[in-house]
Amino acid sequence: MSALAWSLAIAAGLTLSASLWWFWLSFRAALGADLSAGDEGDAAMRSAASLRRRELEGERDALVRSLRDLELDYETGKLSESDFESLRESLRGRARQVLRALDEDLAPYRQRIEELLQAKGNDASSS
Amino acid sequence: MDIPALGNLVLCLSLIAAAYACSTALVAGRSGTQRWLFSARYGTYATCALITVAVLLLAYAFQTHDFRIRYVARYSDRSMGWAYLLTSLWGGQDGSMLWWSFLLCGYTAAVTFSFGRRYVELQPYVLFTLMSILIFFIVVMLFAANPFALMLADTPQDGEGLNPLLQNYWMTIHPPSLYLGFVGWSVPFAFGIAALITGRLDEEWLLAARKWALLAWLFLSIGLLLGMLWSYEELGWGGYWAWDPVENASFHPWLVGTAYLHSVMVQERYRMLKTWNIALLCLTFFMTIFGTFLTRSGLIASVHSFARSDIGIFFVWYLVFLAAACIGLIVWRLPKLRAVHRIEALMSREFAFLLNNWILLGMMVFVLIATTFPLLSEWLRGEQVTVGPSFYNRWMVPFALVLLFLMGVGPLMAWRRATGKKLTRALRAPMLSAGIVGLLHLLIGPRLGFPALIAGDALYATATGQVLDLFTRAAPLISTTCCAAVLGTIVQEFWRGMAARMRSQKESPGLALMRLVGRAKRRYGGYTVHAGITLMYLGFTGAAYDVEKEAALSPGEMMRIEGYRIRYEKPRMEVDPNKRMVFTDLTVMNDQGRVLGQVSPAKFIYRTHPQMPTTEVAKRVSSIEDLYVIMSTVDPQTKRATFRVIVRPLVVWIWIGGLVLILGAFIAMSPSVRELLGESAFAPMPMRASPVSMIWPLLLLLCGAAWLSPQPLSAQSDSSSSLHAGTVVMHNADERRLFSRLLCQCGECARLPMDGCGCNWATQKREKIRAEMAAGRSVDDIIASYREEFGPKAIAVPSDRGLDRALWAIPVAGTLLAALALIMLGRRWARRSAKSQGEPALMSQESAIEASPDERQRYDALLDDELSKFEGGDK
Repeated sequence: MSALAWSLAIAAGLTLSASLWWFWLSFRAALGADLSAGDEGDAAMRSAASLRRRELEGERDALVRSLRDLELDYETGKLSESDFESLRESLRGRARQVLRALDEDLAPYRQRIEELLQAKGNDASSS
Repeated sequence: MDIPALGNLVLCLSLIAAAYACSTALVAGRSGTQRWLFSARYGTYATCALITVAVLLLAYAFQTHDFRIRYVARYSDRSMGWAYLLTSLWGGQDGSMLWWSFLLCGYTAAVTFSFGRRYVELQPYVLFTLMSILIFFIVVMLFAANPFALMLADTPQDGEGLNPLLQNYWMTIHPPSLYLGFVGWSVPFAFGIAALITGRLDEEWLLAARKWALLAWLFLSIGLLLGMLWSYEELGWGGYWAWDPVENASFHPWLVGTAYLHSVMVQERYRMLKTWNIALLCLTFFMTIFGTFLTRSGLIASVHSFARSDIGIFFVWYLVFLAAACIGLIVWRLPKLRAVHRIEALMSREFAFLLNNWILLGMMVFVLIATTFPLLSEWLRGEQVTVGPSFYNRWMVPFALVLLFLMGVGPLMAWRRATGKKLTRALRAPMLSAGIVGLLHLLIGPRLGFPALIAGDALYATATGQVLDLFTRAAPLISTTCCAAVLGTIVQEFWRGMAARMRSQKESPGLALMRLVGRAKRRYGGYTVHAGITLMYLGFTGAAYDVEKEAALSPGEMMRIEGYRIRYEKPRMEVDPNKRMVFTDLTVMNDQGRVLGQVSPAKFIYRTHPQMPTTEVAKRVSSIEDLYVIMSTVDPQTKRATFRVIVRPLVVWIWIGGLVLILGAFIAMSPSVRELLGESAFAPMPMRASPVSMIWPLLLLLCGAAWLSPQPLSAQSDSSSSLHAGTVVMHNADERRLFSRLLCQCGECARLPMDGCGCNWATQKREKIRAEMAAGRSVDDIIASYREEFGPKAIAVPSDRGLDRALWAIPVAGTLLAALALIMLGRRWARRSAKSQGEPALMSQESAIEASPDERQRYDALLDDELSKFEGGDK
């Protein structure tokens, strides 16, 4: 038997072992053992981000992409200055609104962090 | 080791494992719990590993000549080297099913690895879809195409050997690449299905699927190019594309996939065409399965007939299931797929993309109808017909030129709306270059042997035939003019972008070019792809100027063709353990007698397939033309040999264009600096796991396959039509027209036109027909007699009456009607957009309260920050 055939046989054996190992991990995970993320992961999975927030992020990205294209089109002479300015301003106006909405969406989290930091600061000063 | 039993066991385990991974993914999706998702991911890895074990076991069986396995006995023999023994894995149907599954597992493992904590809601359904595709292929293997099935008879001492067609360099890397392209579309398809199931139809899935789609498109393009190269180098009939059903099968997903890559950009920016894009993606995947079905079922007679088998029914049911599932899901999600924004003007980049989609799909429908027409004809009226290359070559020219024209104009349009004045200014340089090239072609072309208008012949003796003929005659001029316009557009786009940077940023030209491309890689990568395709068009145009000649020469004798003198020196024979090789050495000189080089066309006779002597083409390549030499016969006693020599202008530009296309695709999908550093604020996709990083192992796989091939360029043919190719000469235009319409009816040369078939039957029939022509019979009269004698299936171009007319009338009428509908729809959208006041709502109905000056300043700064992140991010 050639060296290549030996190599293939050994590789098959190793891959089979890897497959069994992954099965073991899969069963363990299904049974709830050995999870690093735990319940937080579940929560993250159920609502990775609020639908509204994701919508806003999607719109922000689309607007930024459109703005960039607009600038490229203007730089390469496909748009007149007046068209460019009016389209740009309308896109930027909408983008500002979206960024503001995103900002508002984050406000409760920001407030919570500030409260936690303040609480931590109070603990540190009292001890 | 009992490899057959072990192999079967591993396949059975793979099926169970895939079903397990599929189920856990479904549970993960339904329950939204991470432990099930982890379980599904590990289960997916385990399944992929099992399929890999099956591949390794089959490779082991080939290396150890385990002829108990039917597949090993049929596709290998003891004389084959280790490298071809490895490539035999995908040499036949059963192995190629396993190979398909293996590549799918490669993609699946890479996608799973790349997920990390992203797309948590899409992940389960992506895995579910990919595993369900894998289940289908494992079922096909277990029940209809088992690569580990045992020989029914006694174990043979030696195998039958790999089909000589597959024992060459290009066929070593062509199938893996094509399959990488086919299988690759499974990943974006899985993302699309996951988005439909979860209802998360925002842009998240599009962004996740984008580079996977580009990767699949790139491999499909490389696969098609390699297939053309193989056909040109190896089959010895002088062409690179024969419109064989199997070739068409790989062309369909390429056309739809190209349409998708364009229209998806509109959705990314303006959140429109959502239904259209998901439908295109589903159709692309559907066509890859349909292509595999055509390739492997042997449904339609073709030169790839070595893959006939009984797996067809499995594919038919799977295709029905796929269509029903995709349509059902799309209809279910229609309310969520509604566009937020509409096209504002007909003169806009968005509408140009729609027109691009229109022509690409028109081409796809045309080729699809023509490919399946023989089946439809037999089914509807019980009459067998054949649709030969002449039909495609003539009808596809108008489609292709419209596409070329759109490639020139589209990039000049601005997004949203282009003004007439600006567009006219942008058109100046492309039109100027087109005008100059067109004029030069008209004035100087004839002197150089490239007349702008060529002689043609009508495909039909009807008005349609006349119109088509007029178009065909002018096609070279239209093509070169459009090519010049497209290249002019591309150069202008690069130059304008560079000039703007050089002005505003005070950058050097080199730096400006680099930063320009880096800033908008998809745009400029796309332009580079356009440049590559334009160069390929130039190469295709060269086919209008082919010159060919046949001569029987004794050693020392000489023939002349198009400024070349070719002297036949001597024949020689070489032998290796696998085959005998008969070479004929020829010296190529120019008209002045200066030696340009040596060429040695050959015939190979394989030990295991002595009945399949094969033809090795010899070529002399230059940027202007290829000298393509085929040795048809050689007499061992007199050493007299027959040669067919073709001078093919501009062919090399097809391959150069292909390389440019690949470069463009690389630019478009290359990672940004941010991605390389793994810290993209937009799409945190670490390089280790991005689709771009996938390309290196996959390319290495291809290169490895190429390296495995121990010998370069051994042209072969098999018992199918290609065996008889390359031995025929046409003496005049009437003969060319006549014999290109008649198909060989010897029983073995399905679909091969008589102008390329060199079998005994065809040779004798040709002589008989030539005698009739000499006696004054007209071409049309002879075609009519031939049709009467052998039936409509013996004619390469169906008639232009009755149901036959539907072959071109339905797709052409459909395409024209679609164009009309598109323009009407576009105008309606534009009118509505003009009526709506102010900025069209791009998105959800957010509060429209204008910010205070302070807030405005703050959000402007935030926006500028977001924009700067796009520099190099190419989101």
